[in-house]
Amino acid sequence: MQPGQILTDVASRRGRTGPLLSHILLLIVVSAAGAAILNALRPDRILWVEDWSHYIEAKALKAGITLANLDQTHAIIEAGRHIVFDARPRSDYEEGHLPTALPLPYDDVDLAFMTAQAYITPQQPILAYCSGIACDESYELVLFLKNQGYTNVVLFVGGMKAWVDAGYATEEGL
Amino acid sequence: MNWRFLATSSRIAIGIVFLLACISKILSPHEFATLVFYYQILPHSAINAVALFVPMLELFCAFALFFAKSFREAAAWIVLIMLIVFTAAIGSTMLRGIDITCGCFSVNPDAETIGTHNIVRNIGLIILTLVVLFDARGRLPER
Repeated sequence: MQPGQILTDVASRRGRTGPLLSHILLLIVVSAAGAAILNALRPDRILWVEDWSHYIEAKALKAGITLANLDQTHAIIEAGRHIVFDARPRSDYEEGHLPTALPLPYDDVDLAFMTAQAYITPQQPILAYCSGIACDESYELVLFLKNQGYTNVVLFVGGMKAWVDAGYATEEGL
Repeated sequence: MNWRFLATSSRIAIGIVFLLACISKILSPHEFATLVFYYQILPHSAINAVALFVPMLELFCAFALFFAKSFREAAAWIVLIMLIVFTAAIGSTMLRGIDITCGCFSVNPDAETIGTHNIVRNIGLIILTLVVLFDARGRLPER
């Protein structure tokens, strides 16, 4: 290729990149403006910035579920009156779980519950947890247990992450 | 192979996919934001902004692919980047063992959970988008 041809080719590419970038930018700006206008006009508009850190907690309170914080969960486990259920997938449970916790994975709840049913009565105090504040398996599990007639169920929203972050001991394996 | 036909079909297919993908997200922004939250990737402060902005970007890219010839290349680049990001998000969520619904075409929380089929589908869409991109840049063979 001749040097002149190379220069022409580079100039042509530069000539294409300019409009391309401005077109990309324009699509982004128009989309952002469209989203802002539509959201401002709709009756069910949402905030552009929202605190999601208490989403599951708020959902649980709205559903009438009793919550346990970290200290309460620690006291519950120390007292040993509650059955503690880990709602995460079984593989996560085996890697590490709260002391005395038993697996009741929500992704296989029907089968897991058939086994668990054998050793819990409807009045049995139960505590459920999953990985942390953003997981909803334990929330769903509590709703499931309540629907099955278990009345004394509490939810530890902080889950495994809050427990580990606090430096409390965990157990491994089944 | 008729490259012209392949490029046009790919462009229309990608346009339809993105149009279908954005509808329920635009109609139900809070439900979509909840699904974005469950991915546990974004900082909480960015969830709603992403849930509002991304579906609208999908919509305008679909329109650009259908109707605006001069914007096709730009739309194809954005679609390509979105598909790569979506695929990475799905892969990362699967690797972390988080069992959630995709939120790709529906905001129904009880829809089918994410799996390798989502990644395979996205790779297919990425290939179609590359065809559109090559066509927009005049890099496809004439026949």
